[in-house]
Amino acid sequence: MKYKILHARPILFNREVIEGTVLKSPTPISPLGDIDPKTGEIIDPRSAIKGQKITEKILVAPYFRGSTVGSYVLFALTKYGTAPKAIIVGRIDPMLVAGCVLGNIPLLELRTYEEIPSNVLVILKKTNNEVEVHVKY
Amino acid sequence: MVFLSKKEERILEGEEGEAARLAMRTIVKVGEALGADRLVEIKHAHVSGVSYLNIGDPGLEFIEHLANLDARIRVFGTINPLSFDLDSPHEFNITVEEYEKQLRIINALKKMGFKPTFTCTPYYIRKPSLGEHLAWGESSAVAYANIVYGARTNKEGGPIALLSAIIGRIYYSGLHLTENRIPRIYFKTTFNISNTVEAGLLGYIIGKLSKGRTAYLENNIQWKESWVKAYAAAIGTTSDNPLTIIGNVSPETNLFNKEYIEEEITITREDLEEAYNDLVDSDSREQVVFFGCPHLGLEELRELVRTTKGYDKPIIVSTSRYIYAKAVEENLVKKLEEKGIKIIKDTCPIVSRLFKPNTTVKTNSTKASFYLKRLRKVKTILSDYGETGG
Repeated sequence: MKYKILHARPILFNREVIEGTVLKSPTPISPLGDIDPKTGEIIDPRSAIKGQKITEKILVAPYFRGSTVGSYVLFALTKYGTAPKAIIVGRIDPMLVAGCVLGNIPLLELRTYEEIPSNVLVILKKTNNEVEVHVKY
Repeated sequence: MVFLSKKEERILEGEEGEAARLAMRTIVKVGEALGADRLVEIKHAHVSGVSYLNIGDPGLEFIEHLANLDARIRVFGTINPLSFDLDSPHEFNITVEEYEKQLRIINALKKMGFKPTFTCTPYYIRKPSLGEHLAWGESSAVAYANIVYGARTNKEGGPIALLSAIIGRIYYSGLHLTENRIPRIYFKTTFNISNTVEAGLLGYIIGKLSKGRTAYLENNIQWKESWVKAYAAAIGTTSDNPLTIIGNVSPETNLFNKEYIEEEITITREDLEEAYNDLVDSDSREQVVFFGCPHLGLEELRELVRTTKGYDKPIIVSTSRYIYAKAVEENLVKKLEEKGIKIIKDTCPIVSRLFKPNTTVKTNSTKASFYLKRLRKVKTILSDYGETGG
Protein backbone atom coordinates (compact mmCIF):
# COMPACT_ATOMS: atom_id res chain seq x y z
CA MET A 1 0.00 0.00 0.00
CA LYS A 2 1.54 3.30 -1.09
CA TYR A 3 0.70 6.77 0.16
CA LYS A 4 1.49 10.13 -1.26
CA ILE A 5 1.50 13.00 1.25
CA LEU A 6 0.32 16.50 0.32
CA HIS A 7 0.53 19.45 2.71
CA ALA A 8 -2.62 21.52 3.11
CA ARG A 9 -3.36 24.75 4.97
CA PRO A 10 -6.01 24.20 7.65
CA ILE A 11 -8.68 26.89 7.49
CA LEU A 12 -11.07 25.04 9.80
CA PHE A 13 -9.87 21.78 11.27
CA ASN A 14 -10.61 20.93 14.86
CA ARG A 15 -10.04 17.19 14.74
CA GLU A 16 -6.97 14.95 14.71
CA VAL A 17 -7.83 12.65 11.81
CA ILE A 18 -10.51 12.45 9.16
CA GLU A 19 -10.72 9.55 6.75
CA GLY A 20 -12.92 9.39 3.69
CA THR A 21 -13.42 8.83 -0.01
CA VAL A 22 -12.75 11.67 -2.41
CA LEU A 23 -15.42 13.16 -4.62
CA LYS A 24 -13.68 15.55 -6.97
CA SER A 25 -15.31 18.23 -9.07
CA PRO A 26 -13.10 19.43 -11.92
CA THR A 27 -15.10 22.68 -12.02
CA PRO A 28 -15.94 25.29 -9.33
CA ILE A 29 -19.07 24.66 -7.25
CA SER A 30 -21.81 27.16 -6.43
CA PRO A 31 -23.63 25.80 -3.35
CA LEU A 32 -26.72 27.83 -4.30
CA GLY A 33 -27.98 26.12 -7.43
CA ASP A 34 -25.41 23.31 -7.79
CA ILE A 35 -26.17 21.32 -4.62
CA ASP A 36 -29.54 20.10 -3.34
CA PRO A 37 -29.07 20.45 0.42
CA LYS A 38 -31.95 18.11 1.21
CA THR A 39 -30.33 15.15 -0.63
CA GLY A 40 -26.67 16.20 -0.79
CA GLU A 41 -26.75 15.61 -4.53
CA ILE A 42 -24.91 17.65 -7.17
CA ILE A 43 -27.69 18.99 -9.40
CA ASP A 44 -25.74 21.29 -11.74
CA PRO A 45 -26.55 19.81 -15.19
CA ARG A 46 -23.12 20.81 -16.57
CA SER A 47 -21.13 19.26 -13.72
CA ALA A 48 -18.97 16.17 -14.40
CA ILE A 49 -20.16 14.79 -11.03
CA LYS A 50 -23.87 15.49 -11.61
CA GLY A 51 -26.10 13.10 -9.67
CA GLN A 52 -23.39 12.11 -7.18
CA LYS A 53 -23.75 12.74 -3.46
CA ILE A 54 -21.31 14.84 -1.49
CA THR A 55 -22.57 13.42 1.81
CA GLU A 56 -19.80 11.87 3.97
CA LYS A 57 -17.27 12.44 1.16
CA ILE A 58 -14.06 14.46 1.10
CA LEU A 59 -15.22 17.03 -1.44
CA VAL A 60 -12.41 18.41 -3.62
CA ALA A 61 -12.83 21.36 -6.03
CA PRO A 62 -10.70 24.13 -7.58
CA TYR A 63 -12.75 26.76 -5.69
CA PHE A 64 -16.32 27.70 -4.81
CA ARG A 65 -18.29 30.37 -6.64
CA GLY A 66 -21.68 32.02 -6.84
CA SER A 67 -24.10 33.82 -4.54
CA THR A 68 -23.11 34.56 -0.95
CA VAL A 69 -26.35 32.76 -0.03
CA GLY A 70 -24.15 29.69 -0.60
CA SER A 71 -23.04 30.05 3.05
CA TYR A 72 -26.62 29.27 4.13
CA VAL A 73 -26.65 26.19 1.89
CA LEU A 74 -23.48 24.86 3.58
CA PHE A 75 -25.15 25.42 6.97
CA ALA A 76 -28.23 23.56 5.73
CA LEU A 77 -26.14 20.54 4.63
CA THR A 78 -25.18 19.93 8.24
CA LYS A 79 -28.68 20.61 9.47
CA TYR A 80 -30.14 18.06 7.02
CA GLY A 81 -27.32 15.54 7.64
CA THR A 82 -26.05 15.71 4.06
CA ALA A 83 -22.70 17.47 4.63
CA PRO A 84 -19.37 16.20 3.34
CA LYS A 85 -16.75 15.06 5.90
CA ALA A 86 -14.41 17.82 4.73
CA ILE A 87 -13.87 20.21 1.84
CA ILE A 88 -10.52 20.74 0.09
CA VAL A 89 -10.16 23.61 -2.40
CA GLY A 90 -7.33 25.16 -4.36
CA ARG A 91 -8.36 28.62 -3.22
CA ILE A 92 -10.69 29.74 -0.42
CA ASP A 93 -13.19 32.63 -0.52
CA PRO A 94 -15.34 34.39 2.12
CA MET A 95 -18.60 32.64 1.17
CA LEU A 96 -17.03 29.18 1.55
CA VAL A 97 -15.21 30.00 4.81
CA ALA A 98 -18.35 31.52 6.36
CA GLY A 99 -20.46 28.55 5.23
CA CYS A 100 -18.02 26.01 6.65
CA VAL A 101 -17.95 27.81 10.01
CA LEU A 102 -21.76 27.88 10.12
CA GLY A 103 -22.03 24.25 9.03
CA ASN A 104 -19.04 23.14 11.12
CA ILE A 105 -17.45 21.52 8.06
CA PRO A 106 -13.63 21.05 8.12
CA LEU A 107 -11.99 23.09 5.37
CA LEU A 108 -8.50 22.86 3.85
CA GLU A 109 -6.76 24.98 1.24
CA LEU A 110 -4.39 23.08 -1.05
CA ARG A 111 -2.90 24.76 -4.13
CA THR A 112 -1.99 21.34 -5.56
CA TYR A 113 -5.50 19.92 -5.07
CA GLU A 114 -5.33 18.54 -8.62
CA GLU A 115 -2.94 15.84 -7.43
CA ILE A 116 -5.76 14.22 -5.47
CA PRO A 117 -7.55 11.72 -7.74
CA SER A 118 -11.29 11.14 -7.47
CA ASN A 119 -12.78 8.14 -5.69
CA VAL A 120 -9.63 7.26 -3.73
CA LEU A 121 -9.36 6.96 0.04
CA VAL A 122 -7.60 9.84 1.81
CA ILE A 123 -6.58 10.38 5.41
CA LEU A 124 -6.37 13.95 6.71
CA LYS A 125 -3.96 14.21 9.65
CA LYS A 126 -3.36 17.26 11.77
CA THR A 127 0.27 18.13 12.50
CA ASN A 128 1.70 21.29 14.12
CA ASN A 129 0.56 23.96 11.69
CA GLU A 130 -0.66 22.07 8.67
CA VAL A 131 -2.80 19.12 7.70
CA GLU A 132 -1.24 16.19 5.85
CA VAL A 133 -3.37 14.74 3.11
CA HIS A 134 -2.41 11.07 2.77
CA VAL A 135 -3.54 9.85 -0.63
CA LYS A 136 -3.75 6.07 -0.96
CA TYR A 137 -2.76 4.45 -4.28
CA MET B 1 -3.72 36.32 12.38
CA VAL B 2 -6.61 38.47 13.61
CA PHE B 3 -5.80 40.17 16.93
CA LEU B 4 -8.81 40.56 19.21
CA SER B 5 -9.57 42.92 22.07
CA LYS B 6 -10.38 41.46 25.50
CA LYS B 7 -14.07 42.02 24.84
CA GLU B 8 -13.89 40.32 21.44
CA GLU B 9 -12.06 37.37 23.03
CA ARG B 10 -14.86 37.03 25.56
CA ILE B 11 -17.50 37.03 22.83
CA LEU B 12 -15.51 34.33 21.00
CA GLU B 13 -15.47 32.26 24.18
CA GLY B 14 -19.25 32.40 24.34
CA GLU B 15 -19.70 34.80 27.27
CA GLU B 16 -22.34 36.72 25.37
CA GLY B 17 -24.23 33.71 24.12
CA GLU B 18 -24.07 31.14 21.39
CA ALA B 19 -25.29 33.41 18.57
CA ALA B 20 -22.60 36.01 19.31
CA ARG B 21 -19.97 33.27 19.58
CA LEU B 22 -20.93 31.82 16.20
CA ALA B 23 -21.00 35.28 14.64
CA MET B 24 -17.61 36.21 16.08
CA ARG B 25 -16.05 32.92 14.99
CA THR B 26 -17.33 33.38 11.43
CA ILE B 27 -16.18 37.00 11.13
CA VAL B 28 -12.74 36.14 12.57
CA LYS B 29 -12.26 33.13 10.29
CA VAL B 30 -13.30 35.03 7.18
CA GLY B 31 -11.13 37.96 8.31
CA GLU B 32 -8.16 35.58 8.62
CA ALA B 33 -8.83 34.26 5.14
CA LEU B 34 -8.82 37.84 3.81
CA GLY B 35 -5.59 38.69 5.64
CA ALA B 36 -7.12 41.13 8.14
CA ASP B 37 -5.16 41.72 11.35
CA ARG B 38 -8.02 43.08 13.45
CA LEU B 39 -11.73 43.86 13.54
CA VAL B 40 -13.34 47.29 13.38
CA GLU B 41 -16.54 48.51 15.04
CA ILE B 42 -19.39 49.35 12.69
CA LYS B 43 -22.29 51.78 13.00
CA HIS B 44 -24.84 50.18 10.70
CA ALA B 45 -25.32 46.78 9.07
CA HIS B 46 -27.48 46.39 5.98
CA VAL B 47 -28.42 42.84 5.09
CA SER B 48 -29.12 41.63 1.57
CA GLY B 49 -30.54 38.18 0.89
CA VAL B 50 -33.74 38.31 2.93
CA SER B 51 -36.14 37.36 0.14
CA TYR B 52 -37.40 33.79 0.45
CA LEU B 53 -37.31 33.40 -3.34
CA ASN B 54 -33.57 34.12 -3.15
CA ILE B 55 -32.40 32.33 0.02
CA GLY B 56 -34.93 29.49 0.13
CA ASP B 57 -35.22 26.99 2.95
CA PRO B 58 -31.48 27.07 3.83
CA GLY B 59 -31.65 30.83 4.47
CA LEU B 60 -34.90 30.52 6.41
CA GLU B 61 -33.43 27.71 8.54
CA PHE B 62 -30.31 29.71 9.38
CA ILE B 63 -32.04 32.99 10.18
CA GLU B 64 -34.55 31.18 12.41
CA HIS B 65 -31.67 29.25 14.00
CA LEU B 66 -30.03 32.56 14.97
CA ALA B 67 -33.31 34.00 16.27
CA ASN B 68 -33.89 30.85 18.32
CA LEU B 69 -30.42 31.33 19.85
CA ASP B 70 -31.70 34.72 21.01
CA ALA B 71 -29.41 36.66 18.70
CA ARG B 72 -29.66 40.43 19.17
CA ILE B 73 -28.06 42.98 16.90
CA ARG B 74 -25.79 45.62 18.46
CA VAL B 75 -25.96 48.25 15.75
CA PHE B 76 -28.52 49.94 13.52
CA GLY B 77 -29.76 47.20 11.19
CA THR B 78 -31.72 47.44 7.95
CA ILE B 79 -32.75 44.84 5.37
CA ASN B 80 -33.05 44.57 1.60
CA PRO B 81 -36.23 44.22 -0.52
CA LEU B 82 -38.55 41.20 -0.58
CA SER B 83 -40.11 39.46 -3.55
CA PHE B 84 -43.50 41.13 -3.03
CA ASP B 85 -45.19 44.21 -1.59
CA LEU B 86 -46.39 43.26 1.90
CA ASP B 87 -49.61 45.22 1.31
CA SER B 88 -50.46 43.56 -2.01
CA PRO B 89 -48.74 40.14 -2.12
CA HIS B 90 -51.38 38.68 -4.46
CA GLU B 91 -50.13 40.88 -7.31
CA PHE B 92 -46.71 39.24 -7.31
CA ASN B 93 -47.43 35.68 -8.36
CA ILE B 94 -46.25 33.92 -5.20
CA THR B 95 -47.61 30.80 -3.53
CA VAL B 96 -49.09 30.64 -0.04
CA GLU B 97 -46.04 28.66 1.10
CA GLU B 98 -43.66 31.31 -0.26
CA TYR B 99 -45.69 34.03 1.44
CA GLU B 100 -45.72 32.26 4.79
CA LYS B 101 -42.04 31.43 4.73
CA GLN B 102 -41.23 35.03 3.85
CA LEU B 103 -43.17 36.17 6.92
CA ARG B 104 -41.17 33.74 9.07
CA ILE B 105 -37.91 35.26 7.79
CA ILE B 106 -39.17 38.79 8.51
CA ASN B 107 -40.32 37.84 12.02
CA ALA B 108 -36.97 36.25 12.86
CA LEU B 109 -35.08 39.32 11.63
CA LYS B 110 -37.39 41.66 13.55
CA LYS B 111 -36.89 39.61 16.70
CA MET B 112 -33.13 40.14 16.35
CA GLY B 113 -33.70 43.89 16.10
CA PHE B 114 -33.61 44.62 12.38
CA LYS B 115 -35.83 47.41 11.10
CA PRO B 116 -38.38 46.11 8.55
CA THR B 117 -37.14 48.48 5.84
CA PHE B 118 -37.19 46.18 2.78
CA THR B 119 -35.19 48.61 0.69
CA CYS B 120 -31.95 48.88 -1.27
CA THR B 121 -31.64 52.54 -0.15
CA PRO B 122 -30.75 52.28 3.57
CA TYR B 123 -28.93 55.65 3.33
CA TYR B 124 -32.32 57.43 3.34
CA ILE B 125 -33.17 55.79 6.65
CA ARG B 126 -29.85 56.37 8.37
CA LYS B 127 -27.47 58.76 6.63
CA PRO B 128 -23.85 57.54 6.82
CA SER B 129 -21.11 59.98 7.77
CA LEU B 130 -17.60 60.54 6.52
CA GLY B 131 -15.11 57.90 7.65
CA GLU B 132 -17.50 55.72 9.62
CA HIS B 133 -17.39 51.96 9.18
CA LEU B 134 -20.37 49.95 7.93
CA ALA B 135 -21.07 46.35 6.97
CA TRP B 136 -23.47 46.59 4.08
CA GLY B 137 -24.69 44.15 1.51
CA GLU B 138 -26.48 45.34 -1.66
CA SER B 139 -23.92 46.58 -4.17
CA SER B 140 -25.73 49.79 -5.17
CA ALA B 141 -26.02 50.97 -1.55
CA VAL B 142 -22.42 50.00 -0.81
CA ALA B 143 -21.19 52.08 -3.74
CA TYR B 144 -23.45 55.01 -2.80
CA ALA B 145 -22.20 55.03 0.82
CA ASN B 146 -18.57 55.00 -0.30
CA ILE B 147 -18.90 57.49 -3.15
CA VAL B 148 -21.29 60.07 -1.70
CA TYR B 149 -20.64 59.93 2.06
CA GLY B 150 -17.08 58.63 2.24
CA ALA B 151 -18.33 55.94 4.62
CA ARG B 152 -16.29 52.76 4.59
CA THR B 153 -17.80 49.44 3.62
CA ASN B 154 -16.89 46.54 1.43
CA LYS B 155 -19.60 44.71 -0.48
CA GLU B 156 -20.50 42.09 2.13
CA GLY B 157 -22.61 39.05 1.39
CA GLY B 158 -25.93 38.68 3.20
CA PRO B 159 -24.74 36.14 5.79
CA ILE B 160 -21.65 38.18 6.71
CA ALA B 161 -23.58 41.45 7.09
CA LEU B 162 -26.12 39.63 9.28
CA LEU B 163 -23.44 38.14 11.54
CA SER B 164 -21.50 41.39 11.78
CA ALA B 165 -24.68 43.13 13.03
CA ILE B 166 -24.76 40.67 15.93
CA ILE B 167 -21.23 41.48 17.08
CA GLY B 168 -21.17 45.09 15.81
CA ARG B 169 -17.86 44.48 14.06
CA ILE B 170 -16.36 43.52 10.72
CA TYR B 171 -12.85 42.53 9.63
CA TYR B 172 -10.58 45.48 8.95
CA SER B 173 -9.74 44.94 5.29
CA GLY B 174 -10.40 46.26 1.79
CA LEU B 175 -12.11 49.66 1.70
CA HIS B 176 -11.98 50.03 5.50
CA LEU B 177 -8.29 50.92 5.04
CA THR B 178 -7.38 54.35 3.70
CA GLU B 179 -4.63 52.93 1.47
CA ASN B 180 -7.20 50.95 -0.52
CA ARG B 181 -9.37 54.05 -1.03
CA ILE B 182 -6.63 55.92 -2.88
CA PRO B 183 -7.51 56.04 -6.59
CA ARG B 184 -5.25 53.97 -8.88
CA ILE B 185 -7.01 54.62 -12.17
CA TYR B 186 -8.06 58.02 -13.54
CA PHE B 187 -11.04 58.65 -15.83
CA LYS B 188 -11.92 61.72 -17.90
CA THR B 189 -14.93 62.17 -20.15
CA THR B 190 -15.14 64.20 -23.36
CA PHE B 191 -18.71 65.24 -22.44
CA ASN B 192 -20.74 66.29 -19.40
CA ILE B 193 -23.38 63.80 -18.36
CA SER B 194 -26.91 65.13 -18.38
CA ASN B 195 -29.24 62.36 -17.19
CA THR B 196 -29.55 59.09 -15.24
CA VAL B 197 -29.07 56.87 -18.27
CA GLU B 198 -25.71 58.42 -19.11
CA ALA B 199 -24.66 58.27 -15.46
CA GLY B 200 -25.53 54.58 -15.32
CA LEU B 201 -23.72 53.76 -18.54
CA LEU B 202 -20.66 55.62 -17.26
CA GLY B 203 -20.67 53.55 -14.05
CA TYR B 204 -21.03 50.38 -16.09
CA ILE B 205 -18.00 51.30 -18.24
CA ILE B 206 -15.79 52.51 -15.39
CA GLY B 207 -16.54 49.39 -13.35
CA LYS B 208 -15.49 47.22 -16.26
CA LEU B 209 -12.25 49.12 -16.95
CA SER B 210 -11.16 49.57 -13.32
CA LYS B 211 -10.46 45.85 -12.79
CA GLY B 212 -10.96 45.99 -9.03
CA ARG B 213 -9.07 49.25 -8.50
CA THR B 214 -10.42 52.38 -6.81
CA ALA B 215 -11.17 54.89 -9.57
CA TYR B 216 -11.11 58.68 -9.81
CA LEU B 217 -13.56 60.42 -12.13
CA GLU B 218 -12.76 63.97 -13.20
CA ASN B 219 -15.90 66.11 -12.97
CA ASN B 220 -16.67 69.80 -12.49
CA ILE B 221 -20.44 69.91 -12.76
CA GLN B 222 -23.19 69.41 -10.20
CA TRP B 223 -24.60 65.86 -10.18
CA LYS B 224 -28.21 65.20 -9.26
CA GLU B 225 -28.82 62.61 -6.55
CA SER B 226 -30.50 60.36 -9.12
CA TRP B 227 -27.38 60.40 -11.31
CA VAL B 228 -25.12 59.24 -8.48
CA LYS B 229 -27.62 56.52 -7.59
CA ALA B 230 -27.67 55.34 -11.20
CA TYR B 231 -23.86 55.43 -11.39
CA ALA B 232 -23.42 53.58 -8.07
CA ALA B 233 -25.94 50.89 -9.01
CA ALA B 234 -24.33 50.33 -12.41
CA ILE B 235 -20.75 50.06 -11.17
CA GLY B 236 -21.87 47.13 -9.01
CA THR B 237 -22.82 45.15 -12.11
CA THR B 238 -19.29 45.21 -13.54
CA SER B 239 -16.90 45.66 -10.60
CA ASP B 240 -16.16 44.22 -7.17
CA ASN B 241 -14.68 47.52 -6.04
CA PRO B 242 -17.60 49.88 -5.41
CA LEU B 243 -15.53 53.04 -4.88
CA THR B 244 -15.10 55.80 -7.44
CA ILE B 245 -14.01 59.15 -6.11
CA ILE B 246 -15.97 61.62 -8.23
CA GLY B 247 -14.78 65.21 -8.49
CA ASN B 248 -17.31 67.71 -7.10
CA VAL B 249 -19.39 64.83 -5.68
CA SER B 250 -17.27 62.75 -3.27
CA PRO B 251 -15.96 64.11 0.04
CA GLU B 252 -12.64 62.29 -0.32
CA THR B 253 -11.15 64.01 -3.38
CA ASN B 254 -8.15 64.80 -1.15
CA LEU B 255 -7.16 61.12 -1.41
CA PHE B 256 -6.28 61.68 -5.07
CA ASN B 257 -2.53 61.69 -5.60
CA LYS B 258 -1.09 61.62 -9.12
CA GLU B 259 1.78 59.40 -8.00
CA TYR B 260 -0.57 56.50 -7.32
CA ILE B 261 -2.31 56.64 -10.69
CA GLU B 262 -1.38 53.60 -12.79
CA GLU B 263 -3.57 54.28 -15.78
CA GLU B 264 -5.54 57.15 -17.34
CA ILE B 265 -8.52 56.59 -19.61
CA THR B 266 -10.71 59.01 -21.56
CA ILE B 267 -14.33 58.01 -22.14
CA THR B 268 -16.17 59.29 -25.18
CA ARG B 269 -19.79 59.34 -26.34
CA GLU B 270 -18.95 56.41 -28.61
CA ASP B 271 -18.05 54.37 -25.49
CA LEU B 272 -21.46 55.22 -24.02
CA GLU B 273 -23.10 54.17 -27.26
CA GLU B 274 -21.29 50.84 -27.19
CA ALA B 275 -22.32 50.16 -23.57
CA TYR B 276 -25.88 51.12 -24.47
CA ASN B 277 -25.94 48.60 -27.31
CA ASP B 278 -24.60 45.95 -24.89
CA LEU B 279 -27.56 46.44 -22.61
CA VAL B 280 -30.65 47.16 -24.67
CA ASP B 281 -32.86 45.31 -27.13
CA SER B 282 -33.29 48.10 -29.64
CA ASP B 283 -35.69 46.23 -31.92
CA SER B 284 -38.39 46.06 -29.24
CA ARG B 285 -41.13 48.51 -28.31
CA GLU B 286 -41.90 48.83 -24.60
CA GLN B 287 -45.01 47.32 -23.03
CA VAL B 288 -44.37 48.79 -19.60
CA VAL B 289 -42.20 51.53 -18.10
CA PHE B 290 -40.30 51.04 -14.85
CA PHE B 291 -38.49 53.52 -12.57
CA GLY B 292 -37.06 52.68 -9.17
CA CYS B 293 -33.80 50.77 -9.36
CA PRO B 294 -32.46 51.72 -6.84
CA HIS B 295 -35.69 52.51 -4.92
CA LEU B 296 -36.74 56.09 -5.62
CA GLY B 297 -36.19 58.87 -3.13
CA LEU B 298 -38.48 61.85 -2.55
CA GLU B 299 -36.59 64.08 -4.98
CA GLU B 300 -37.03 61.53 -7.75
CA LEU B 301 -40.74 61.12 -7.00
CA ARG B 302 -41.14 64.92 -7.17
CA GLU B 303 -39.32 64.94 -10.50
CA LEU B 304 -41.67 62.25 -11.83
CA VAL B 305 -44.68 64.34 -10.82
CA ARG B 306 -43.17 67.31 -12.69
CA THR B 307 -42.10 65.51 -15.88
CA THR B 308 -44.68 62.79 -16.52
CA LYS B 309 -47.80 63.82 -18.38
CA GLY B 310 -49.55 60.52 -18.84
CA TYR B 311 -48.54 57.75 -21.16
CA ASP B 312 -50.18 55.06 -23.27
CA LYS B 313 -48.26 52.29 -21.45
CA PRO B 314 -48.39 51.37 -17.75
CA ILE B 315 -45.74 53.08 -15.61
CA ILE B 316 -44.58 51.30 -12.46
CA VAL B 317 -42.26 52.83 -9.87
CA SER B 318 -40.74 51.18 -6.81
CA THR B 319 -39.71 52.75 -3.54
CA SER B 320 -39.35 51.89 0.14
CA ARG B 321 -42.23 52.02 2.61
CA TYR B 322 -40.22 54.68 4.48
CA ILE B 323 -40.15 57.03 1.48
CA TYR B 324 -43.71 56.03 0.51
CA ALA B 325 -45.02 57.29 3.88
CA LYS B 326 -43.27 60.62 3.32
CA ALA B 327 -44.62 60.79 -0.22
CA VAL B 328 -48.14 60.31 1.11
CA GLU B 329 -47.61 63.24 3.50
CA GLU B 330 -46.43 65.40 0.61
CA ASN B 331 -49.42 64.35 -1.48
CA LEU B 332 -47.05 62.92 -4.10
CA VAL B 333 -48.62 59.46 -4.13
CA LYS B 334 -52.03 60.87 -5.07
CA LYS B 335 -50.52 63.02 -7.82
CA LEU B 336 -48.62 60.09 -9.28
CA GLU B 337 -51.68 57.85 -9.17
CA GLU B 338 -53.69 60.53 -10.96
CA LYS B 339 -51.16 60.31 -13.79
CA GLY B 340 -51.76 56.56 -13.92
CA ILE B 341 -48.47 55.68 -12.24
CA LYS B 342 -48.49 52.59 -10.04
CA ILE B 343 -46.27 52.62 -6.96
CA ILE B 344 -44.95 49.43 -5.42
CA LYS B 345 -42.91 49.19 -2.22
CA ASP B 346 -40.84 46.60 -0.29
CA THR B 347 -39.81 45.01 -3.59
CA CYS B 348 -38.86 45.67 -7.21
CA PRO B 349 -39.23 43.91 -10.59
CA ILE B 350 -35.70 42.44 -10.38
CA VAL B 351 -36.34 40.43 -7.21
CA SER B 352 -40.03 39.70 -7.85
CA ARG B 353 -42.10 37.96 -10.53
CA LEU B 354 -43.92 41.15 -11.47
CA PHE B 355 -42.82 41.06 -15.13
CA LYS B 356 -43.34 37.92 -17.17
CA PRO B 357 -40.44 36.66 -19.35
CA ASN B 358 -40.24 38.29 -22.81
CA THR B 359 -42.03 41.44 -21.71
CA THR B 360 -40.28 44.56 -23.04
CA VAL B 361 -39.55 47.07 -20.29
CA LYS B 362 -38.41 50.66 -20.65
CA THR B 363 -36.34 51.86 -17.71
CA ASN B 364 -33.82 54.57 -16.85
CA SER B 365 -31.68 52.16 -14.80
CA THR B 366 -28.60 50.49 -16.20
CA LYS B 367 -28.60 48.07 -13.27
CA ALA B 368 -32.24 47.14 -13.87
CA SER B 369 -31.54 46.61 -17.55
CA PHE B 370 -28.56 44.37 -16.74
CA TYR B 371 -30.39 42.16 -14.23
CA LEU B 372 -33.90 42.14 -15.72
CA LYS B 373 -32.44 40.50 -18.82
CA ARG B 374 -30.40 37.96 -16.89
CA LEU B 375 -32.73 37.10 -14.01
CA ARG B 376 -36.17 37.76 -15.42
CA LYS B 377 -35.56 37.15 -19.13
CA VAL B 378 -37.31 40.36 -20.11
CA LYS B 379 -36.23 42.71 -22.89
CA THR B 380 -35.15 46.22 -21.98
CA ILE B 381 -34.88 49.71 -23.43
CA LEU B 382 -32.98 52.48 -21.63
CA SER B 383 -34.51 55.94 -21.52
CA ASP B 384 -34.56 58.87 -19.09
CA TYR B 385 -37.54 60.24 -17.11
CA GLY B 386 -38.26 63.26 -19.26
CA GLU B 387 -38.41 61.18 -22.42
CA THR B 388 -41.34 59.19 -21.12
CA GLY B 389 -44.69 60.63 -21.99
CA GLY B 390 -43.34 64.16 -21.62
